[in-house]
Amino acid sequence: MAKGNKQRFRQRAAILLSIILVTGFGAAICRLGYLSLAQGSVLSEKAVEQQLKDTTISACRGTIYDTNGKVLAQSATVWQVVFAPAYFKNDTQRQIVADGLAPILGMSVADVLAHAKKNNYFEIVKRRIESDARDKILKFIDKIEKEDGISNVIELIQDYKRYYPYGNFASAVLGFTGSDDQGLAGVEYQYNDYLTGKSGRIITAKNANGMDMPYNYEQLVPAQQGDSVVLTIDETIQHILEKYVQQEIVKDKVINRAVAIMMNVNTGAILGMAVEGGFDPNHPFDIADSATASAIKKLPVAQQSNAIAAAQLKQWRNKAISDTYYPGSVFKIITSSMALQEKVVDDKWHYTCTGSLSPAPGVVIHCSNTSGHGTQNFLKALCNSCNPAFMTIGKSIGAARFYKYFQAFGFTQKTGIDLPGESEDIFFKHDNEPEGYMDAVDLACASFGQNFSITPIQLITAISSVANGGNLVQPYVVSKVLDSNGNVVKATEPKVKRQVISSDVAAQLRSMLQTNATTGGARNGYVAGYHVAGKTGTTEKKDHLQGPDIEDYISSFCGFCPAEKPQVALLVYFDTPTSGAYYGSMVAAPVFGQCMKEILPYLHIEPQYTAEELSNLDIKADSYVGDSVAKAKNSIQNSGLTSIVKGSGDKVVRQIPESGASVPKNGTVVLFTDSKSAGEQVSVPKLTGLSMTEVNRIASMYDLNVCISGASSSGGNTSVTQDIEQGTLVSPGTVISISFANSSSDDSEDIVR
Amino acid sequence: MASTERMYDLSLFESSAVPASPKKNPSARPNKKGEIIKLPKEKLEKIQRRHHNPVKLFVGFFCAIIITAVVGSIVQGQAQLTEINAKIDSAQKVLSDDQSLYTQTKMKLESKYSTSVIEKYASDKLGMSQAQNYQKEFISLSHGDKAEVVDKKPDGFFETLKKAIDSFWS
Repeated sequence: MAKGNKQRFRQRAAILLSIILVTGFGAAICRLGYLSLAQGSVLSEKAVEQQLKDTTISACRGTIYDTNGKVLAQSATVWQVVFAPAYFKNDTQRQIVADGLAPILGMSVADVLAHAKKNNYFEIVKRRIESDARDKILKFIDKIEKEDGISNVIELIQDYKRYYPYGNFASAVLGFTGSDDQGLAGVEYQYNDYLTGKSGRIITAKNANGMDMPYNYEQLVPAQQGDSVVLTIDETIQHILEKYVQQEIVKDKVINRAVAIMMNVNTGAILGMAVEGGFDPNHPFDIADSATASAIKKLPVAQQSNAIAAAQLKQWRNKAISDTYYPGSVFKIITSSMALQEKVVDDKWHYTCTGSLSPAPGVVIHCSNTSGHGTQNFLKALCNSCNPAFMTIGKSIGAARFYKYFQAFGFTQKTGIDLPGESEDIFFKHDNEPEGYMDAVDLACASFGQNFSITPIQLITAISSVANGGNLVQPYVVSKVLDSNGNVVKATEPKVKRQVISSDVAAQLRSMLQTNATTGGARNGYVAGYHVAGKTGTTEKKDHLQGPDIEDYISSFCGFCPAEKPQVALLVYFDTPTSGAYYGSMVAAPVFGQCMKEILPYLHIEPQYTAEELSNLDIKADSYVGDSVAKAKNSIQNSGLTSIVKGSGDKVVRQIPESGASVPKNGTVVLFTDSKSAGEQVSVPKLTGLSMTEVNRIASMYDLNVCISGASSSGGNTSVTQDIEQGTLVSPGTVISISFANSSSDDSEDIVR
Repeated sequence: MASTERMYDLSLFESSAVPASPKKNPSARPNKKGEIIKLPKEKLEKIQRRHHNPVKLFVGFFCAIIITAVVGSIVQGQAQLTEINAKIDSAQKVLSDDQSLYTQTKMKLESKYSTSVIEKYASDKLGMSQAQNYQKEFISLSHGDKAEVVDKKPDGFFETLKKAIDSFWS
């Protein structure tokens, strides 16, 4: 009996234990299953959030290169100084840190102290500090930790800074970046997706205080550097354009900026785009123009912010693609293309200019030569830039065909250049009339480029089609995009949009424009040794920046070279010169000539001198120092030069011009024979505003040499600049460069309604 | 049932009439098959003494050394890896800092030597001027020997088949 009781007891105990175990563990397993399966994803997210710390590693922005691989914009790792103000124990510590950091960061102690007094764990004190400051801060951190027991209050976090090493060079094309390293203008904006890399991540375990637990768990996803962009812009060509445009702005007091665009006529690649009145991309929010900045400071405080914003927008604006203007007589190239293509004019065509024309009753439009050019053929009319002749041609073409060619040359659409902010044209608009409708006066004005506005990039693209045989090309500024290993990610291929005029018409017009640049109204853009073709333009503006009673003008010149087989086209235009000279031939054409004179040899285009040009070429002075006076004089005479001897010595101790320097043909070499005479100096006289003969006469009176550049020797030229200012003391024999321009006016659009 | 007998001392409940079972002489008892035999002490000790196989001993020792060496090398490798990784990290950090310093310095240098700065210095300080065209001589260079590499298109299916057949017969 006892045995049976024991057994039953044991059995019951086992069953009870089993029930408890099954119930307990079963419940646990079910709960575990529920948490894992039903709430698994939610709980693991919470666990990750609680246990892991995710730090973003920002990617380095790609570099911008010019066409030759020169760096125009590059990013470098810098740091931002961050406080954890909540870890300061007392004000003494805050003061110590503020006193130590302020001189390193270039901030005031009060500013740093203000950051230290905040009540948070992350306070940015200063961004984008460089390596030298960072090293000083690290030493400071060590110092305060050892000496003052201050720790975990200062942190240096990696940041990036965008460098533009050449300041305001090509600023309109490059653009700039914002505080988050995002592109805000120019190529930086247009190609932001390529230039911005992919951010990386560091995932680390963190403790209950949110601090990293090293060696516990760390996973790194490296950042991917942004792609780099190679421009079509050539740094040398860009520099030449900016240099001469800036000089002209100063000389003729241009008050509303200036533009120069050079394009490869066959591919559409933009070799240079100078937009003066720009900004420094390193400090894009600073007002670059000192006069504007001073004027803003004088305004009431309430008005300053609006004025600053307006000034910033103006300086960021790319005038070459965003601003429209009346093209003026330069547009006669397009009208001529239409006329030749439609055979409206031919060799037998002629027109007699009487000084004005009335396209509609009550409207009289004058010619630049108010007394009239007389009878002229088409070439003469183009060289004279005769408005009545072109109004007649325009009437012969007709409004419908005119607008058809206007569209074909791309003026009614954006060019599609890969820069932001491109504007469209502004053409005549009449209520209840179809697009492109022009009345008689509109057509007359349009024929010589007045009363409708286009962008400079549209104009040079259209004129490039005349240069390259009639093909309208797509302009672009970026040739390729490279990844961080140098592999080409994207390449821009030259694109021809359509053929606008036939190659024969283009060739005929090129020849006419070459004549215009040699003996016609564009001869101030002449470059010795190069066959330049081009047209000047002087446009009357509607807005009066100088005052209500003063007319404002735009001076422009557009041409291409070499005329037989053009490689490049250049458009220069100056908005509102105020020095008194405003004609395209006086302001823009000389700049065109100066730019081409430097750029064409750089592009390895060999000069082809005519006999006349060869006879006027400068020659190189030999060395005569140490020679006897007689020997030196003989050598100089054999070189085709004239000698002047100063002093009473037997041997030459000094010569001006020096050995190797250029001397104009028939120029003078001054030989100094003793130290007393070697110190002799003369004051440079005024040599501007004179004819060539007068310049030579006055220069020889002062024993000075002159080097002539600018207009060809066809006469009627006046000196406009001298490279050594009047009154400067120089040695006798010094060569002074004088540039000449044709003083006759050839473009003037006066409209009387 | 036997266990029940052991649990309770039934002898306390039984009379003394039941004679006690005679004591047996363990040495005189005949050995039956399967019964435990008590052996003399010396023999017992001899049997109980472990017999070690020298070959097995050597192999075991050798294996133990190898395993120890392998585990030790793994541990050492891991330790070395950790150290090298730490060194790589710090070297990369130094490289990154140096690259940054290089870029910053290069940008500052480029800004000081831009084309406009050089031109200004040359003209203002050194009295130099632009080279004129007459000072330049244009030389036409021959393009030199050229080799043209033909970019071969991949063979089509039939060409591949034909080549395979040709190579089979060749």
